[in-house]
Amino acid sequence: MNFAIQLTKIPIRIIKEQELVIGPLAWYEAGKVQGLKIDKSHSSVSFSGDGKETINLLVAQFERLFGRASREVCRDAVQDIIAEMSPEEIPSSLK
Amino acid sequence: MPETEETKKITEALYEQNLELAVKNKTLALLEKLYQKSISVLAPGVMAQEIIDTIREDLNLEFTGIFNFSSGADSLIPLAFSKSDRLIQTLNKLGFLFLDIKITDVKKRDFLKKIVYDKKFGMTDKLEEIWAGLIKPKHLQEIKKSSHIKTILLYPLSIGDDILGVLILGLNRDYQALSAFEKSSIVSFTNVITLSLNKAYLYKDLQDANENLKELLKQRESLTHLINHKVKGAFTHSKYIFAEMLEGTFGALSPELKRMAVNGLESDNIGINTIDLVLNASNMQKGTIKYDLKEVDLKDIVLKVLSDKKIQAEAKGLKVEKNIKTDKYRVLGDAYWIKEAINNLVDNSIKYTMKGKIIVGLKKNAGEILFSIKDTGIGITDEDKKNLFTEGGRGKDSVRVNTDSTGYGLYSVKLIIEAHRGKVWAESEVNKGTTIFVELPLK
Repeated sequence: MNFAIQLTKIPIRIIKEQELVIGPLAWYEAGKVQGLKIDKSHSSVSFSGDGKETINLLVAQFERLFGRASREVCRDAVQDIIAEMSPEEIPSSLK
Repeated sequence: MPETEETKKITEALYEQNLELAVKNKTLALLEKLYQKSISVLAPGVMAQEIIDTIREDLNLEFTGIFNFSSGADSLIPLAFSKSDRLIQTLNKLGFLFLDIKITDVKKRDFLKKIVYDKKFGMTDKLEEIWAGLIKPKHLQEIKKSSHIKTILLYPLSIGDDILGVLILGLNRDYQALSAFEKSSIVSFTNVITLSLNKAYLYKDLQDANENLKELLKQRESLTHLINHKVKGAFTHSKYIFAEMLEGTFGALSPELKRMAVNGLESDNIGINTIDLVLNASNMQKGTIKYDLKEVDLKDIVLKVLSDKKIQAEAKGLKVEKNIKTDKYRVLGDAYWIKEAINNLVDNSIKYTMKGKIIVGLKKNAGEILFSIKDTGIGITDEDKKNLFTEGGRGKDSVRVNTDSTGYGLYSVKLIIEAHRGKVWAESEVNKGTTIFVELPLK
């Protein structure tokens, strides 16, 4: 699958998984991440800059607030997606 | 509010607790979905398909499948498969579906043998371990590559010692990469699938048995019709010919001819009585007999039957004793059918008692009337006791003593007595005799 498409699936998967743990706050915190644009229906995202870096910022945003466990939640949520990406395509925060 | 080290620790601890709950919630939500599927559909194939579609979508798997295990054929027979779009595309290109490939010779496949016969969980990264010899190696390679299948998990679906089948899950990632939710869900839903499948198969067996029963009832109905109209008609026809002969309608009969006519008439009567007995039992079973319930004195019925049977008993040299006090033994019942039941019991006692006596008793208990008939006959073996009041339940010895035994007499008695909210049972000892008890509610 196209790398760019794969990458845009990652933030939605991460935010939805965080939503299960912390509720709507997940969308609120994700909204603060620079370079990440979330559509109103919460079904897709776009990047205004480097996608991989934006994902790293998103993971960092959750980790800063909720600690190491939240980083694991982000990683677990996207295992099936990153399984099909080459190592250099995977954002460093999810490795 | 500025975040201190302490509030950060508290937030993180709360997050971890929430995470634990979220994992449980997700697992429960998935199980609830599977449960809903299992109760909304009853056909095993459809139910299995819905369940594995749900699992594949919720856990983002490449494929999921359920095999039925046939121990006789030593084969795993695909019941349902759910596949990702890209796997469907690959399989379409290759010209087969997993659903059409039966896995034979399970015992000869070491990997599968462990799952099916040892009921152990299995994990592999080689599709060959499952489909070797059934799918070409180059096709398996293509499936693995185009669908990114990294791990295949197999779980036995077993209840007690019985193995119903195998659940197969194809992942595009390593087992270690599964989240806590995914790992705990897999363990839980394996049990749900086993129970749901078991239930679906039980239901299917029940449905098949019901269909067979309906078919048998239809055949029985048609047989009953045939017996009633053709066989009984033929008996009745010849009965009147013999009766007319004995009446002298066809002129005087020689002693030989007269003896033959008497035998013929008697034989026809036995035939007609037997048919009536079987047809009555059949009608009682179907519930087509309408009982005309009125207050009747059981004593009057018993005494009338004993009087009718007096000659028959005397002919065999049997003594008939009555243990009936002068009292009223009122029950609510249909006098005709109760008389049929009592007549049957007395008749049986006379037929199965070669010498000795028959004691008939009536007793009033609290709320009930107890009728008993005790004989000094051949008695009933423990094995025959099991079939005593069942349809066609003739005992081995009973046929020897009474060749006309139909196996419907006591069955009819049971149906009549139970229709009157009573019960009937027997106590017996081989070569010592039998006592049959009938209990009816006191009016």
